[in-house]
Amino acid sequence: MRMSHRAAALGALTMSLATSAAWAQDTGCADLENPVYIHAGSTVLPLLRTLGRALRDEADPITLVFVDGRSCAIMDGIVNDTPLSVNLSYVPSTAEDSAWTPNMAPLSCAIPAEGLPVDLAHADIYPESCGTDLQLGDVAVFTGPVLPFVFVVPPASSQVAITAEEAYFVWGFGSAGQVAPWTEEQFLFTRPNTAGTKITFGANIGVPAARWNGEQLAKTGDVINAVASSVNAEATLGIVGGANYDGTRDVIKSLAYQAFDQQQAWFPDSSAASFDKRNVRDGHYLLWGPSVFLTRVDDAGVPTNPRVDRLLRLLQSRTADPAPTFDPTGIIVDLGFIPDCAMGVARDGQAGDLRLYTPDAPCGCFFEARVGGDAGCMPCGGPDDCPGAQTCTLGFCEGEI
Amino acid sequence: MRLAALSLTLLALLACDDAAGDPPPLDMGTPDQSAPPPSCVETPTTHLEIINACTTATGVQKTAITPLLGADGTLPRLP
Repeated sequence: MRMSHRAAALGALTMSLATSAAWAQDTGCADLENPVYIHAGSTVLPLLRTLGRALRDEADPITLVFVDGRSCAIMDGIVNDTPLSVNLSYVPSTAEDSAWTPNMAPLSCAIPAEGLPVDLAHADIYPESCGTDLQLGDVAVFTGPVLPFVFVVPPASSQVAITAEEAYFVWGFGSAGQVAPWTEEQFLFTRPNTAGTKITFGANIGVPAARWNGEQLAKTGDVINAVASSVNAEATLGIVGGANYDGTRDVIKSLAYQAFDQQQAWFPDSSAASFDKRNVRDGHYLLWGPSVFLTRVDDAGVPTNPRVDRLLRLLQSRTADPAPTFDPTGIIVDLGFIPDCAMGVARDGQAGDLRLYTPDAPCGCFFEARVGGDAGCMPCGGPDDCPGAQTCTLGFCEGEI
Repeated sequence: MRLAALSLTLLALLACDDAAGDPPPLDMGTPDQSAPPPSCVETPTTHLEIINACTTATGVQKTAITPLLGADGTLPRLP
């Protein structure tokens, strides 16, 4: 599971470093079977590629056709009906290419001269975090699985942790912040001001995106590459999404993070080497946010595009009709995301205070089992297998007895 | 809510019964797999308690050196 996880996430880097022109083919995006056009942040691309393969292999396939961008521009685009104007990517079905895996580059398809409408937008942040007073109209916001974010350094760096105060001075003051060893701004790698990754970090450390110092790099893959290849490991610091990091742990390493008013620094996982996201789920690690999806809805708040409705249900670990022939929640967990049903804390806004949280249909036992943990949960095949008031969810008895 | 509180309480019981000595104050940070954070919270309910709850996870003790930080711990305004 871990190897496939890494391989899939490494594909995100591969894809982001490639150019769509290099993949250009003759296939028209509009000619693909049941397409859903998606404009997404780069943090979710590993998920789109893996889910895209599974959805295209179904009897009634859906083709995820996507391109990455920056969160604020993405949300502005769907609200204002800005068509996609560059060639898009999709993944082949098994019948089309049995050898394709999510760590390989996707295929490219051509768009018509007038562009294509966005069916589903993804961002790492809420619309209000962009500070543009975006009027959503008939576009609604749906939250998806939680994604951690991490400060990263080269493996050769001796640094293990960073505090919120240090991060405030490093990014907000640059060299003048005098926080060793991160005092050389050419080795501080960040993202453009409209990138959700940067805005999420900024909300947590108190430095608005427009006030950051350092080198702005266009894509997550660029940051990973710059950190991994830095000639000054000790002075180097970058920011990336956790799913991207999990697939590239052999070339970069994450720092434990100590939030304001916290007594110790913590990794997203229970240790630097694990993948269990325990510290996100129980509130020890604060650099995280839900995936945010936007799509057009009817008066009842239901997505007007039934394929988008089904996709959102899968991304939210809800029931879907027809039921998937694969395990979407398992894919979500494998790729470093945390389904809402496995969270033990919640927060309001981009970096609000944490509060204890019990999901309506908890799946903590499934999550623990998926990441190789042992929560002492009882397996089940149906509701009659679980005692008391417990429910059988994703193969385990969940909730209070 | 009760389930989440119960889970965190169980973690607290696992983590807080084996306190060790003071952690070394290294600038770069030192992973500490044996000691819970000082005065960790066993039954957290508030934000401050949740982020400092007892846990068996590996924490890192770090003494940050931030020359511009105010003597009272306040952050100066961004330039």
